[in-house]
Amino acid sequence: MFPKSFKATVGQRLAVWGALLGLVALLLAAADVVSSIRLTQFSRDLVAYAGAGDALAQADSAYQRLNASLLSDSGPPAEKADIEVVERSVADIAMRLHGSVHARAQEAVDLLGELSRQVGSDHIGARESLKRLAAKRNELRIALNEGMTEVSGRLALHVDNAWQNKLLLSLLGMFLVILVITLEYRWLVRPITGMARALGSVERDRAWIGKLAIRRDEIGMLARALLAHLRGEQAQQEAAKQRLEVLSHEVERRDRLQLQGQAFQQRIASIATVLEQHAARMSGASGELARFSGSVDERAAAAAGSTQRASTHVDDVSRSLIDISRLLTTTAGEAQGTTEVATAAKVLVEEATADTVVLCEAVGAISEIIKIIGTVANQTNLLALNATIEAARAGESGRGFAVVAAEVKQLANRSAEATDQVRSGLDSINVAAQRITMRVGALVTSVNQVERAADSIADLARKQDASSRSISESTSKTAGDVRLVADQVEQVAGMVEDWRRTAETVTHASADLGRQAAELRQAVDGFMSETQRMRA
Amino acid sequence: MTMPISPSGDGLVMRSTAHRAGPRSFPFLAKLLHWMTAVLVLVLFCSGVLMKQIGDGPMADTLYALHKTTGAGLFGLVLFRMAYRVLARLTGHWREGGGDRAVHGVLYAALIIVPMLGWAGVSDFGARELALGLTLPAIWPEGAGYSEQLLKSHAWLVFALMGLVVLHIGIALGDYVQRGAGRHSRAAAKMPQRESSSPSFPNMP
Repeated sequence: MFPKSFKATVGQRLAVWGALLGLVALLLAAADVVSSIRLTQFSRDLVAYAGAGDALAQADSAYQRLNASLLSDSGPPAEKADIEVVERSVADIAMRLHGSVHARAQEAVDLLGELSRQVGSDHIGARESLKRLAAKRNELRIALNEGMTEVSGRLALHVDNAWQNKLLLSLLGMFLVILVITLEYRWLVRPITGMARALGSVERDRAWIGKLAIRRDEIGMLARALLAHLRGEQAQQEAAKQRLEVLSHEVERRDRLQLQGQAFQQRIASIATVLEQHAARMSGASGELARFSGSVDERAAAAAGSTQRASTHVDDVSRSLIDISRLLTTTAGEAQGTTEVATAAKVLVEEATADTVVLCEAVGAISEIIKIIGTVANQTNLLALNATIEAARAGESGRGFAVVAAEVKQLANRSAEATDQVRSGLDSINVAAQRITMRVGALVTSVNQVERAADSIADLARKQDASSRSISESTSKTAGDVRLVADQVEQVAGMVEDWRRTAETVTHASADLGRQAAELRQAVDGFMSETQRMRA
Repeated sequence: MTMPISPSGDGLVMRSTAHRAGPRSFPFLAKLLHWMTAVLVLVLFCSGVLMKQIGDGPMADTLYALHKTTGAGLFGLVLFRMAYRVLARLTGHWREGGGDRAVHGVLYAALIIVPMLGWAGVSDFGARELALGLTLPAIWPEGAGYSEQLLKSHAWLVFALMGLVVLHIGIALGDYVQRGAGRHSRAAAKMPQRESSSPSFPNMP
């Protein structure tokens, strides 16, 4: 039934309601305007009637005088002025009013004109006219009363009708207003509050919002938007739920971290306090350190001189050791030579011993031979004796023989002598050989002793050499070490100098550190009190 | 006062028409009759109030003539509508319950009774003349002396009728607002596939 462009939106609905209420209001206003116009008319009519009555009443005295003069013969004569007064009043009525009143007034005016002509000339006629005028005035009065009654009746009817219209229109308007309020509350207020509530409890009212969303007005738009929003919201809620779980873990973690952080802060605070103390102590210590480092520097310089000297001495020792070593090497060589000589001597002595043995044996052999030779010489002597006897017997023939025998005998004697000499020689040789053997034996012992001594000398020399070498080496090492020590002592001296400077820096740093620690403590205290304040 | 079409129930003839013409389309005649009725009721109401307020005089006489003629026209129109509706076997399009069917019935009854009361009143009063020289037939003995009561009840019933009209407008708007787009009736809206909960709202205009 509605045109296509009509969506019953709130605006359109308001237009409809406005039109309806406007119509009622317009009717009420029109009724009021009509009523006021009508009431003006009625009041004008009433005023006219009242004026007419007044005019009649004002002319009453003149009319009475006219009556008295015309109807009684003894009265004063009728005056034109009285007639004119009455005529004016009636003419006024005729002018004011219409209808039967106007007609009667006009007739009365005519009668009065006639009367004014008759007054003075035609007394009888005037009296007749006056009687008719009286009747006319009565009629006029009655007509005036009737007119008044009619106007009053119409006024009453109008008031009644107007009241009825006003009442009914007001009732209609009130009904319309109540209906509008009720319906718009249902269509506008309740959905809005419902949707606002539904934003709180989504699932319960989702179907209801779905129903609202098919509406075509603004609430429908709102409901569609809300529904879309709710769908998004639901998705977000699910995501949020997951996020919340993550977040709760995170929160727990944060709580833990916070607790740790508090503990950390307290620890930091305590550390800062300790740090302050340490910084103060360190400051003092670094002052002392600076003082000590001066003396250490001096001592390091002295140590450097000492080590320098020690190094020189060690170098001397090293050189002496090298000389000793060389000498020991020579000694070893000599000992070696001695050993060799002793060995050679031993060989010679052994050979001599062997030779002595051989000599002894040869002396023995010679002695045997000498024995044989003695024996031979004895036998030869015997033989020569025998040959002399025989040559003596053989006489002159045997004389040559006796000479040879004498010669042989001499030879045998000389041989015996010689063998005796040889024997004595041999005996002395033998004795000498035995002495030699004895002395060679002693010599062998001595040579052996010499050899052993030489060996031990060589051994000792070698050992000495080795130890002197090792001493030399260690001495050179020591020298190197000593030099190293010297270098290091120098370095230590430099380091001590550095150290002293460092100690100064440390003094400054520790003072700074003290300040920083104080600041840190203040910052931590402030932070903690801030945190506590915020927590409270 | 509407000439609704229901896709449910027994309005088979007009339902097919409605389907051909679109989901919310009514036969042109039904629409014309509805809105003519509405306009005539409004004109009659305004003219009635004003003529009563004016009371007498030529303006009031003109308004009386207009009122009586329009009233006779409305009476005929309503009779024609009812005949059309009965013939087309139309039933209420608006949602059942909620007094809507009752409101429709009372509206139709008032649309018959109120003009007849006025008619009887003028018959009694003896003012059956219409505009254009027409005269109403008398349905009440002239001068029976009940004209005042008849016309007063006519006036009061008219206001009741106007209250019903307002109610009708409210119910129609409410139905229109709450049914959403593309729904023939509440019965159709109850169908689950039409209860669109999809975000696209395919039925939305």
